[in-house]
Amino acid sequence: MNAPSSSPIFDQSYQPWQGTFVSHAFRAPVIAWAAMKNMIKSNGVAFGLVYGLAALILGIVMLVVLSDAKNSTDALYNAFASSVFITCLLLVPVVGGNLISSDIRHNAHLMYFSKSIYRADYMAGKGAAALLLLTPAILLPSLISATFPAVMSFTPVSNTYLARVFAALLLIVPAALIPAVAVCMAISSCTRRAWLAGIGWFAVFAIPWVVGQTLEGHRLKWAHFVSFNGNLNAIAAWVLPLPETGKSMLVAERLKYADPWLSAMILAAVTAGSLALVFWRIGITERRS
Amino acid sequence: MSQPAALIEIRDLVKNYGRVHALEGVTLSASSRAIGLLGPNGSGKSTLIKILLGLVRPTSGHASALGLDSQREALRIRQMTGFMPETECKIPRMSAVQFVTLAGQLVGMSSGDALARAHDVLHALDLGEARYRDIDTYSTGMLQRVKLAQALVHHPKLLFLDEPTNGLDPKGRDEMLGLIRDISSRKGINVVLSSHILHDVESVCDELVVLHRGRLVAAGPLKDIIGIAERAIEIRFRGDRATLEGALRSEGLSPRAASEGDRMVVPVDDVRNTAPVLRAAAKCGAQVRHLAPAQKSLEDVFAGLIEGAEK
Repeated sequence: MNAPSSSPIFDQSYQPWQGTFVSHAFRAPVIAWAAMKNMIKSNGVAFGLVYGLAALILGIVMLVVLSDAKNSTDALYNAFASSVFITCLLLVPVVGGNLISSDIRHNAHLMYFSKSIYRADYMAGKGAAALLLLTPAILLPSLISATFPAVMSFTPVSNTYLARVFAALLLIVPAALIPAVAVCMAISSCTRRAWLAGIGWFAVFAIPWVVGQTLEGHRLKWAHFVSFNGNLNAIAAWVLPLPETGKSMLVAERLKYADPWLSAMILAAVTAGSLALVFWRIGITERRS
Repeated sequence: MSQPAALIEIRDLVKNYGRVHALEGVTLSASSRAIGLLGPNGSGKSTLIKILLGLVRPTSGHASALGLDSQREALRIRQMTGFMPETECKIPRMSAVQFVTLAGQLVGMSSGDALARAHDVLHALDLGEARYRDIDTYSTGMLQRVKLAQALVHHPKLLFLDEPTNGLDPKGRDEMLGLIRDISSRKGINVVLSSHILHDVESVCDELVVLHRGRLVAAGPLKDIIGIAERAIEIRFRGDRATLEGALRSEGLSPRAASEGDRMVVPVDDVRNTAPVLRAAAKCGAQVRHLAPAQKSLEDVFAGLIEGAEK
């Protein structure tokens, strides 16, 4: 008699896992990567970034051509000033508005904070995701416009000049985006609704800008310290390789490129204050989990 | 030989939120495979879990889970435990696989391990091909399974389940309780089940912690708490109820008025002495189909404990 044929039986129910854990340093990059992938899936963010970026680049190139830019430094000024303003005003809230408010709205923080992560990991991951998405939006138009005149043979641009531009942008882009993203994260952590965070951002960005412009009209010396743009322009005028005319366009003429350190300190203080607010707000949601 | 550490160890635990006393001097030690945390809404169950996970700092006292201090070793505790929250918990535009993979990576699993494990756990929890779908399209029952999967992905030693049957229909509830029973009894994962539903706790747990208004009302093995405290015999019979009641009375027994259908509870002095009951049944020709000491249900015990605590 033949022995009964045996077939393997696979237990498809829950099975234990006995692997090993990796270093804690991977937590923040994991959060950043997941947040980036998730944000790009959002139609609003994808539209804002792809079409916004394309429109931004096209607009700035047109601006350079139409303004009859005779040299690359004017083009760089135009590109930098426009891309910072538009990126901060429009793209930062599109990307950053949902960053934390969505997690609060859908109780995703219950999942995050029941795992072995610090609040700092969460903040670093979320902030890095926004920075990685926004950096091209501010960097690309500036770089394209800085090199555009050379490509169109308006004026020859030296490699040394391009290296200086690139180095300056590497400094100025974090100076622009880190405070902007920190403020946006702080606003986003205070609400469950992304649109409220967006409105909050416009209020924080636009009101000081209007106040700063008004004060400059009254020729007050400290007017440019009031707004985000004013402070950033003061730093840009100091860092970017611009001629005197370019510098005077970035800061009030009478101030020239004075006090870049004070502007940097103001932006650093705003960043620190915003991050402290995010830390505190996340602590509340963490305890609610 | 040293004693194994208790799963949960709590000493004089106090937590105040302003003037609200969430926990008032709770002391307990529990080490069963399945511990039920029972109490009405607002009794301090969730606060206790949050303190054990190191998410909330107690006002005073000490709490530890798996022998680790909940304040000093919170991250380690969270790496060794899983938590299934009570409320909806999801990240929109993510599939269940992506969500559970992220959960695994946040605990410290490598991306490859977390992904493979997410597939395994979701498959074991019967999410099948649905695991690739956007989590926004899931039903309540599926979302509950995803929440359980993200808590299980790293095979924790201890699993905190906060109202796991919330929002489920009776079939879904039975399935979820079956899964939890399987995990705790066959897969080597200790479970702390927090619930205000007595049936859920009774059907899964073998040790009970009862809280009411932040105070510990009772703690111990479920059997001890429910006990066979009541001296009564429960019978199921076939025959005429009125005739049987008369026969029992003639034997000096008084069947409960609340008895109904084919079930009757008969208080006696000694539950081992079943002769008078059987005699009465024989006298009136009733067929006794079941006879056993009557047990108090957890509902009865819970009501009694809460009533006692309020006094």
